[in-house]
Amino acid sequence: MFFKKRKSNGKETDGIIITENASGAKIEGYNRLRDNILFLNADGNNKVIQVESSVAHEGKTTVATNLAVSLGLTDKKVVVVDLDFHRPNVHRFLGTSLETGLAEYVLGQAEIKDVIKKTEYKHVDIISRGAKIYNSSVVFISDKFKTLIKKLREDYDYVILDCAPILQVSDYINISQVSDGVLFLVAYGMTTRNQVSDAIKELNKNNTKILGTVFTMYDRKKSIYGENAYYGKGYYSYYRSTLDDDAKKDK
Amino acid sequence: MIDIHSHIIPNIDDGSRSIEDSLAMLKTSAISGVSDIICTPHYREGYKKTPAEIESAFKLLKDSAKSQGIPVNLYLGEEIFVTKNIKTELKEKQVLTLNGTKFVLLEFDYNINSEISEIVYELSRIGYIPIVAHVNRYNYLSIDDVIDIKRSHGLLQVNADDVLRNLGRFGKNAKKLFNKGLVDFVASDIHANRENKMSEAGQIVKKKFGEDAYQVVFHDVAMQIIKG
Repeated sequence: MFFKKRKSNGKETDGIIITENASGAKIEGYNRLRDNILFLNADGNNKVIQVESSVAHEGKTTVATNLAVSLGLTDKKVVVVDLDFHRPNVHRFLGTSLETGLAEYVLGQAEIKDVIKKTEYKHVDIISRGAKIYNSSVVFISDKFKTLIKKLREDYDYVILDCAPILQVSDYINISQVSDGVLFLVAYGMTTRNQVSDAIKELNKNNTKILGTVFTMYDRKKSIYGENAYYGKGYYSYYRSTLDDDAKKDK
Repeated sequence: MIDIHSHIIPNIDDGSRSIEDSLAMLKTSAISGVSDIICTPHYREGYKKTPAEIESAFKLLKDSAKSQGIPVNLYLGEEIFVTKNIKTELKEKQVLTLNGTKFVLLEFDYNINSEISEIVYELSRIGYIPIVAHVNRYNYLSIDDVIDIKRSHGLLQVNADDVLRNLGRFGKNAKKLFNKGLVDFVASDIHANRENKMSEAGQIVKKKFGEDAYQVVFHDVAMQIIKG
């Protein structure tokens, strides 16, 4: 069931917008993101992708799930794992239950095969959070978590990790030990330079590889690129991805 | 006015103690303008009657009310305290929905964060329409959480008592919810020996929030439940 969520900036997520025949500026954005990811992972070394942002409501789950669906449509096998223990949302976007997920596996109440669920989206599976665990950091330092990611790495073409914001919890540190790199989101016009800078500093402290940056909630009307650069009208979320780590450090 | 939350069936829970109590409550309800009442005894630890037991007690009440000529239509449901067994309890019909519809009246712990919107999401995913009873009384809910509940397809009920409160968190929360247009039902949650505050609450709502708000929360949404 589709779930629309009100964000603290008042902007609502569209949920999953990728379909087989969809078109439009937003879809173009996701196609380009997907193609960049496919290119980055040509040798198979960048398949476990940690989706991060500085603060909440920057569009992590929207991007993580739409990217997964987009990859699935190219016949890649994808699993999305909800690692945001405080505000799990992946199950809502992909239309499955929150129950029997990562928490149950880590607590020894379920096997890996029990917590992986199919979704209605082609080649996209999900592991939801499961029950609430108040001290989520214990999950990410556990051997079980490492074993899980290792298994998913073997069984899937892409493992997309939807994470909690960097400046809110330190889960990203342990998650980066098992991921291939971070897809770093910035909500255009919303997140401050200081927040982005602090988040990047944190990632650099831990030598975390940044695969690329995505701008979300970009308003075409305010763009310097002008009316003719894109088609469609109204409010858009647009992304721009870059392979240049240095550009992010400058922000 | 339609009252979707009451503890009027005698000797089932902590509500009415006797049939006389019940009939008295029905009479005062009728006089104050309540035309329809859904009887919603508690289903929780200490009060776990079977549907058969409740239905039989309900029938007795209905017959007595009819024989006394009390002009209130009665319907049956339950106020279900949500535990991890809620899905099983619903599936195996150990608990009652409201008037045999997909609407379910749910209660949660006042203090322990029960991730209400997750439960509401899950139940609506499997076809129910969850109503959160006295939603303003859950201390851990922020306005964002409440909006989350609504967006997870949950409906919100506030007690008439709380509409009348000017002080205290319950009253303040109720007011906030009305100001944001989030309330779907006002109901009495009437237990033993208490007046039905629906009428008084109705006056306040009409005065502070307008006639439309009054119609919606005292009548329009509840009509969907009693229509069946």
